Amino acid sequence: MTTVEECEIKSPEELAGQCQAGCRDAFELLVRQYADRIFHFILRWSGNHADAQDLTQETFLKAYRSIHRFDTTCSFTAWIFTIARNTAINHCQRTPRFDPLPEDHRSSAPDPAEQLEVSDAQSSLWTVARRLKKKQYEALWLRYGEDLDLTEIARVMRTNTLHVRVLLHRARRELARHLTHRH
Amino acid sequence: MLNCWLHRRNARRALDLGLNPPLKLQRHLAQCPACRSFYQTELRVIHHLRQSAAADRASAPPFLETRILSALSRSESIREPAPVGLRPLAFTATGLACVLLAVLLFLSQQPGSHPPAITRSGSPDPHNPIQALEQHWTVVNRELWLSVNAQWENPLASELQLVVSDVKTAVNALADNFLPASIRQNRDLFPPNP
Repeated sequence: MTTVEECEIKSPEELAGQCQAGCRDAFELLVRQYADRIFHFILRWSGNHADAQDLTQETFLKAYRSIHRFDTTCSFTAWIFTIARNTAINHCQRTPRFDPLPEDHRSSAPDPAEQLEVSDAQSSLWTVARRLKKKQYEALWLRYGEDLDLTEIARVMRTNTLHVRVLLHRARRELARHLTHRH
Repeated sequence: MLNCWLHRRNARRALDLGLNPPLKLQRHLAQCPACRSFYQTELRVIHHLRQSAAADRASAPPFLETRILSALSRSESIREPAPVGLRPLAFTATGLACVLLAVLLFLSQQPGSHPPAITRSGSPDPHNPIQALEQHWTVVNRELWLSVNAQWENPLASELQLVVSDVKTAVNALADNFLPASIRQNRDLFPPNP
């Protein structure tokens, strides 16, 4: 059995490999590494916190049940994001209406520092990006929010890298237009 | 113009892959203000997006990880008693065994299905498979074997009777569970041995 200290220095793919060998601690570390990221990603689909929490939990349960099918030579990040995306899409198909992510989805506490941060974010490019086409916004978030590479994004979005590049170019062009208009 | 189009294409490619612009492109950017402006705007957009991504994240609930981990433990404890992969196989094997035994039992109860008695006298009948088999396989010291068997109260026969009664019980249970009441008519398919 591998100790938690040994697990912590390993890559997600190695941790997944250990999990396949029966190390439960390895999967716990993966949950700790990815829970936040998956939550934010799903929140962009579901639009509300309660659903995003449920779907994040569902994503990890699915991942745990099918970890034996994960190919450790591939990217774990792309794999888990694919599961998250499919879970979110299924949820959106089940629920009759789809709530887009609100303009200010972040704050529930009226903390002054946070309010300042919110007003700063109002002018951030991400606020503008939310008005882009859904796929463009998704590609943009995966690339610059989650730092996935083009191949990983293509896997998550079930498309090819060329299409991802086209989505990114169009999204950046729109945002660049917004930036030049603002200045 | 075409030159600019090609260089912008290369610039986008470099930006997508997160690479530095190649030398050719750098030289062109130094000479062409339009392309330089395009490249700088793209760079600024990317920089802005990366910088503000952290601020754009919603605050995840602090108990989210704990919640996921406890859900994992619950799902594990539910699954542990029986390995899911083996369950269909076990059901199939049990079902097949029951069906096979039921068929054997049914055949054994048919009149005239017993093999004819072996007659020791005379030449063996070439059409009788048991006699033909006896030609090649003879029981050594048959009388001794039969006497020992009788002393031990026919263990093979009693074991077979046990198997038969088990099969009857199993088939009756299956019929109770799966046959419609109109066919079953509230009685056992195989009545128990007297």
